[in-house]
Amino acid sequence: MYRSFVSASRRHKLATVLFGAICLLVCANAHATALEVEIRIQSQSRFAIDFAASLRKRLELQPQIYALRETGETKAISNTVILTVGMEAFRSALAERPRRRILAAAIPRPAFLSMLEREGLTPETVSDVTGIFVGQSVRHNLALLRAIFPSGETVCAFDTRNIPFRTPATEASRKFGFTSIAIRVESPLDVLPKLEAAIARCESLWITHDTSAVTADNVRPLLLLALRHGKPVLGGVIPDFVELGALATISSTAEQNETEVINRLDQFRKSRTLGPSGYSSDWKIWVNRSVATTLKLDVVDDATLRERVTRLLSER
Amino acid sequence: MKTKTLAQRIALVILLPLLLALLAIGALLLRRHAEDVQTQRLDSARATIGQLAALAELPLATGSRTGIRETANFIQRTANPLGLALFDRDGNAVETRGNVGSYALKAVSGRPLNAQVELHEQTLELVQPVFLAAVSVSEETKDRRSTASLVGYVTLAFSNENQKLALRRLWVNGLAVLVIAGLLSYFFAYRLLRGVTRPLAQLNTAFDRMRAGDLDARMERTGVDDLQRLAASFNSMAVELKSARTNLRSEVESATAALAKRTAEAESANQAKSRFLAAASHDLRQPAHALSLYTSALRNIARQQPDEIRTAIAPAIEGMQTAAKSLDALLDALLDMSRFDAGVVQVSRTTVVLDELIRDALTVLDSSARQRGVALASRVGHLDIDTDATLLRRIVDNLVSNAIRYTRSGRILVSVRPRFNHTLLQVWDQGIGIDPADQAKIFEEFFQVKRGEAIQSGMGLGLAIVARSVKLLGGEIWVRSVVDRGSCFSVRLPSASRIRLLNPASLSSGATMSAGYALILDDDPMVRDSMSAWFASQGLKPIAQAALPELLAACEGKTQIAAAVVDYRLGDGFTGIDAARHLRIRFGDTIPIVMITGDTSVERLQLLQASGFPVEHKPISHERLQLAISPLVQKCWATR
Repeated sequence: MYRSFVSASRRHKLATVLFGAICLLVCANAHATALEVEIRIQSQSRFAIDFAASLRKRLELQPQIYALRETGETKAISNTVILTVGMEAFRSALAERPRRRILAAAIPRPAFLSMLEREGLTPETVSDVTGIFVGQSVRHNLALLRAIFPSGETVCAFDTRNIPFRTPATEASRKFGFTSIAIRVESPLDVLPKLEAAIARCESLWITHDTSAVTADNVRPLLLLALRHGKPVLGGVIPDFVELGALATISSTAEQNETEVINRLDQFRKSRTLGPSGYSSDWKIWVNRSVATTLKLDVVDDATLRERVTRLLSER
Repeated sequence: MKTKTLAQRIALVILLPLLLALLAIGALLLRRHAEDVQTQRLDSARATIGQLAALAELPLATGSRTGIRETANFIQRTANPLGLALFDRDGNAVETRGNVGSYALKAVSGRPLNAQVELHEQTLELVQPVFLAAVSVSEETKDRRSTASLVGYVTLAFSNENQKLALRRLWVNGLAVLVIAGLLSYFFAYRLLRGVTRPLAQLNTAFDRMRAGDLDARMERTGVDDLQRLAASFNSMAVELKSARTNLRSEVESATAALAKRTAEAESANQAKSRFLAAASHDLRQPAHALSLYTSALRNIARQQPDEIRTAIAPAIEGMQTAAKSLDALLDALLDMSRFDAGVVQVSRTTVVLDELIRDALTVLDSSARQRGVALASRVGHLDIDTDATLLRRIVDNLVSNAIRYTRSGRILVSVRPRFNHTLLQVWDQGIGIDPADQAKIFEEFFQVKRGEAIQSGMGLGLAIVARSVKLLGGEIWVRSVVDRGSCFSVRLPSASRIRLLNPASLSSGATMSAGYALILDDDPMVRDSMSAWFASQGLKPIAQAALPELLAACEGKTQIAAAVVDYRLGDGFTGIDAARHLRIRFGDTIPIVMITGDTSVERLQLLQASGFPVEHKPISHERLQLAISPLVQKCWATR
């Protein structure tokens, strides 16, 4: 390389030196400038607020890497990311359509997909909008269900029009050996009567974080109805469901979600791509032992359960 | 208690039962309401704990801390209990708020299967087990079966303070409403009734004015029609009453004038009678006095005559003496009445030995009784009595004399019997008796029972004197009599202690006085002569004069003055009292002086009483003269 440089013409030498200088400048600039992150939160959810605060603290620990900006301070350059926490913040950011990348955190997958669909987008066509969903996938939940009920045959789930759950749920159910019974509901008001009518046929009920079916208003009567009929309820997206009365759920903790967000940001800082939307790679199982006692179920301990789920996920 | 007006009384009469009824009804309703409140409170508490149990069903079944907290928050916010607690199925407290109460904790430890309510003084505590209403449905038969599984307990504690405060307010407000309603009712009733009672008050005022003599009092015609008619009637009555009073007043004035005229005439006649009696008594006493002394002297002279002469003149002397005694008695009676009228008779109480007094009186009257063929007897115990001996003796003398006078034959009994707080003196006779119509009059002056031959001597003053004497002694007298069978006079006298009376019997009529001079000062020559003769028969040398200077002159050089008898009325305005004082100056204070008088006027008797000299009234028998003078003479000689 040195001989060819020496033997080159002065024009070539000048051009080479100039190019090298520019490259050095660019590289130096690249290493010297931190990733600008603008955190947006418009939610009243305690989970979202705590999540955003915790995330902000973790980012602030690395000021040379992440530069936190307030809304409007970030420039429309490639080295900036809008980090939204919760659905409202994501909806607002998506409506602005800024020329910056959006990383939507703490958002349920159905909601993420619905918003994109409302904007005429799809996850495949939009590379600068990425979501990290709360909860875990259908597959994980059905694996948990199978781990708790090794001999279970049927599982009921609510089927709403706006959530394209049916195909993945059906496929996952089949994979884990369950017959899926869809309880068709048009609105949250339909949930209780439809459930009461169908619950005799269910061995268990799997619910998702679908606000067109399960809301804060009917979740308690729903759980009580299921309990009175001796049917366990699994699923939900966040551990609050378990706390409220669901038997178990599998989900990512806030720390796991934070780690996932930071990983995505770090990936973006390195490769200028946020990667595909998805759940956190790490997860946790929550089991309500009181419900298990009430239902007189013998649920194995958490470690054994995690081991079973892990094995089921790897096997199927 | 203040006097209430008529309106107030009527208002109270009307409203009091109403208020009492309202009070009773109000108290009953308040009590019922309080019971309802208590029942509602218990129902509310049961409903609250039922709601708590329903809300806690899911949280307790699932162990949801959030749900438990939210349930507790909700109940605390809506029911505001004193305390609440939620327990899991093992009885472990999973949520506690406030003061749950010891009862609830104890009850939970007992694992109750039913709701329990405990009402304490300060708190109301409830315990409710929470069941999960499990439903199982058979797929084939669609058979729904419900069972319940215990998932925990909930307890609630409520403070009774608020309810107590509410009940207290309820009672206070209820009572306040009743009191205010009562006062308002009373006020309005009083206002309404005043429209009725005001005319009545005016009527009362008008009556008061009329009673005070104002017949011009009239009523205003106000109020309802009835009251206006009442006012009109009253006014017309007042007019008529005024007219009647005017007429009556004129009639009364004329009648009063006539009565005054008659009273003056009666008083004048009474005064004339008194003057006549006094004058007659005085004028009669002089000759009677002389007659008595002359007769006594004549009897003494007759004793010294030969038997044939003494026998021949004895009946005449005896008749003269009897006539003189009768006259003496009549004049004594007149004198006694005059003394009672003058009020100079005073009671001098001593202890009187009754049996001696009665015996003496009967001894004196025994001879006259024998002459009438009447036997005297007495039945007297050894009794003393605190009374005036003279008045009592006069009472006995007059009653016995009266009995002798009206008894033809038979027996007269004098009895004295002690009673509880008095002494009863009775005189029984078997005389002609007293007609019932006359029994009320016999104690009047100058009244005599007139029945055929029974009319006796006297003026009808004996029983009048007895009645006045008894009254003066503080006793009373009454009579029981049956015509032709006899009478009984009863005298009630108070009892007393014992002191001996001077025994008059010790001064016998035959006793003579010691030698000396007897001074006689009297302007009546007949009296002077008769008294001189009597004193001479008694062994004394009489010196009798009409005036004091002559008497003093006649006494010149004489020192042995045994006694002096001085007439009160000496003429020329010179009285016996003046003369007696001069004699005391001349012969010393020890000279015995007896004042005699025939006057019966009240003024003279009072003067003589005040002088302090012993007084004897004309006519004086020789026995009385001797009784009056002998003690004085003996006392005088004893001091010399």
